[in-house]
Amino acid sequence: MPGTAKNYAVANIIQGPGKLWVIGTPPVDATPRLTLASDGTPDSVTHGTCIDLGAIQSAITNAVKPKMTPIALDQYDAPFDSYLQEEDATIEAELAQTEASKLQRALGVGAYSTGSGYKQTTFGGLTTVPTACIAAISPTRANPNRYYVSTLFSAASVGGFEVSMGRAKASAYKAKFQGLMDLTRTAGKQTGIWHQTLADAAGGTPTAPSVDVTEIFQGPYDLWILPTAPTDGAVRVTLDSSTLTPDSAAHPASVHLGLQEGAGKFTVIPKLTLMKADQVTGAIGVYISGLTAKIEAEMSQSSMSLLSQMLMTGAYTLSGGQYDQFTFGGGDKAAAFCLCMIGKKRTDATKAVVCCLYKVNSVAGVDLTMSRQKRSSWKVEFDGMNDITRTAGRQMGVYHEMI
Amino acid sequence: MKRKYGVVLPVDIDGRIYEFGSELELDDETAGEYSHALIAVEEEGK
Repeated sequence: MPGTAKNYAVANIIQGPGKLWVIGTPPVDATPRLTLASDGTPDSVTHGTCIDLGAIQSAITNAVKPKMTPIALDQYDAPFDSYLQEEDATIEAELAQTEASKLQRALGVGAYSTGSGYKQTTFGGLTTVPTACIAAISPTRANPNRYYVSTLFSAASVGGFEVSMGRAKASAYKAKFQGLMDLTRTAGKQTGIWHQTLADAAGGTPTAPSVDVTEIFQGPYDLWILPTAPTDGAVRVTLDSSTLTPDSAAHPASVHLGLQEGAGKFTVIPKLTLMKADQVTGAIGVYISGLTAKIEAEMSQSSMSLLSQMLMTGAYTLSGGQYDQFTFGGGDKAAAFCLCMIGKKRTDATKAVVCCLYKVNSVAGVDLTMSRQKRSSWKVEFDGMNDITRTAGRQMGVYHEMI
Repeated sequence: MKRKYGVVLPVDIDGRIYEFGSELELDDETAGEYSHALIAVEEEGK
């Protein structure tokens, strides 16, 4: 008897980078595939204004994960069937461009603004979660004019963003887009589509890609306490234009927190509740149930005043050159304060990048290490809080950059 | 001339925040500065 041919197809082994796009006009139900122009970018006539999310630090991961519920009987030692309970579709990538509009895209619930000399994204207090069609496009290994395309017709950004400021490593942040079911579409193709083009891309109207390596941030920062926070009407930290430090008139008595070890991290992450229904397998809506914003750093200096300030529950005393002390135990929590990280752009040291939380608590405590082998350094963590006296959308903080 | 735009990502323009799903009227220059967050709305009869 003849055998059966094996399916060895080396061309089907996928490897190669991709690009991530926000699609202005999603593919329609009848033709759910993304229409590509000759250069493999979304066709701008069919799909309107599409936006390239820029440089990718590492792989784009597309995933569709079913959750199967086994149906078992006591008489048998294994399930006799299963039923699809849920199906989860996501696209994830580590984005490399630290730029206000791209950070806003990764956060979703942030408000973008720009004007003379600045771009900013504020956050805190928004209630509506934006959704958009997201697509990843990657040329095939065998033919760069043919493509693998992954599309989520409607997706919410669930990953938030991180800005890491330090010498050792460029800042990047993991963006994650959660697919939502569009119940107006035909069952079986309500969330998304993966497809591979089998003919060379031709014609169409390309969309300009927007990789801009000048937006990749790397470099040190300084950490400041601002006793006078930016106001609701002037949301950015006002900087002295020559030193790029807090302006002493707008932010009097600002405290510089000295030297730090390694990078400082600023993270803003939404907690989204996915709405589900028993009739369908995926999320059909989304709501923001929380927002976490924090600044983390490792402090090098350990003056008593700094330690006291970072503990927040201590009482500091400086006595006429005799001693410098802080006591702890039994005190009340000190007032929260405004905190910001200020760095300079890698490609233009005259322009600052600022990450600011209007109201934080220091939550990691303090350490004092006494060792011959290791100098004393200590990790601090500041949790952002909502200042409800401010306008919704800018109640927690701001990322801003000079342009 | 001002045109109507739908908000696809929240924007803060002149101190007012417009959330996802809302609409606003803007001149072309301002709309260009916020192009990543807006989509033109086709008005009936135009």
